[in-house]
Formats: sequence, C-alpha cells, structure tokens
Amino acid sequence: MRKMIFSIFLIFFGFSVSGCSVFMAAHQPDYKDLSFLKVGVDRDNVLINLGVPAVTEKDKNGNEVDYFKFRQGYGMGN
Amino acid sequence: MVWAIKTVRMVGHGVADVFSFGLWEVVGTPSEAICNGHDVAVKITFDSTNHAKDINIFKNKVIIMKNIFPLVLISLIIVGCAPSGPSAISIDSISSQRNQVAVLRLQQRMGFFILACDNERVIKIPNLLFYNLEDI
Repeated sequence: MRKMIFSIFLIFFGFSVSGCSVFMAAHQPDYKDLSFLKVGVDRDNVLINLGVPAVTEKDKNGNEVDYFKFRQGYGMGN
Repeated sequence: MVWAIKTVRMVGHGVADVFSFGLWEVVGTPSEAICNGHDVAVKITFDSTNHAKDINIFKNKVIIMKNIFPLVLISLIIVGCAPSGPSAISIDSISSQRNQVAVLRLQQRMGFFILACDNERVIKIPNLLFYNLEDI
C-alpha cells in the first residue's frame, strides 16, 4: 500500500513539474519559410508573409527599403 | 509541419518527465531555453513598381533600429555612460559570436552617435540601420 501511494505521488510529482519544458516547447517561435524571398517578389506578398516591417525608409535612390525583424523558429532539418 | 515539430517536442518532454518523475526538467527546461530559435533580420529594397530588387537576410547578426531612444536612455542611466562620449553600450547584441556583435546608438540628430563594436574596437559609423562588422 505504501509503495502504491509512493508511486502515485511520484507520478503526480512528475506531472506537476512537467509544465515548464512542455510549456516552453509549445511557445517556441514559429518557423517562417523565407524561400519566397526572391528578387522580383511583390511587396504585398512580402508584407503578407512577414508582417509589418520594423522600419521603412527610402534609400538615396528613392527606393523604398523595408526592414523586418523576427525570431526564427526551428523547422524540419534546421 | 511547424506544429508537428512543436508537438513532438512537447510530447517528448512530457513522456520524459513522466518516466523520470520530473527529473527530465533539469535537462529539458535549459535545452528549451537555449534552443528557442534565432533572430533574423531581412532588408528588402523595392523598385518603383514595388517589386523586390535587393534582398539581404541577416541571421544572428545585429540589427540597428531607429527610434530606440527610451531603450538607449535607460541603458545610459543604468550603465552611467555619457551619451556624447565614445561609449559603447551593448543593447541589442543578438549574436554572441565575435565580429557579429554590434552596439547601436541613436540618430545623430538626437545627440547620439551610432557606434558598433566587436568587443575589441569601437567604430563610429554613419546613420545605419543594419550593420555587420564583417562588412567593414
């Protein structure tokens, strides 16, 4: 009986402390596929995939330059 | 696919936790804290027709952002550096690798210099947003 209670306690203990790494794994940043970023891609397409740029400015030639910043998660094979 | 990876990791941690009676957390939590992705910056230049003509992807490199005045100010107060001096304060050091670590300061019109350093040298640079010391 004592062994059973001890086992139940250990299992309960295991479940109770298992939240941290599981929680952290669940909240890892998503992987963004950047393969669409090729010369000629439309700006709307970029904004849809990457969201609002962190900074937008014009370069000396008058071209619009967007800066994006994000945290890349892990995908398959990386 | 991303969710599949997350699910595998979650299930793996959960199973390991149960079978190790929670001792897996000693390994699992730090590993999740370390393996939490990496910072990426993307600089895209568009032409007049809004099509990308130049794309730069910076991985684990420094991003120098505009409008970080509160952050700089707080850091200046904490570190106690004079804003006009040749002080380098690490604020946004994304990468721990040398030559990819930079320090940034505000726009010059706000009275700050933009600096970059690799822990050995400090360089005053013009008003740049993205800066990689390897490009010098």
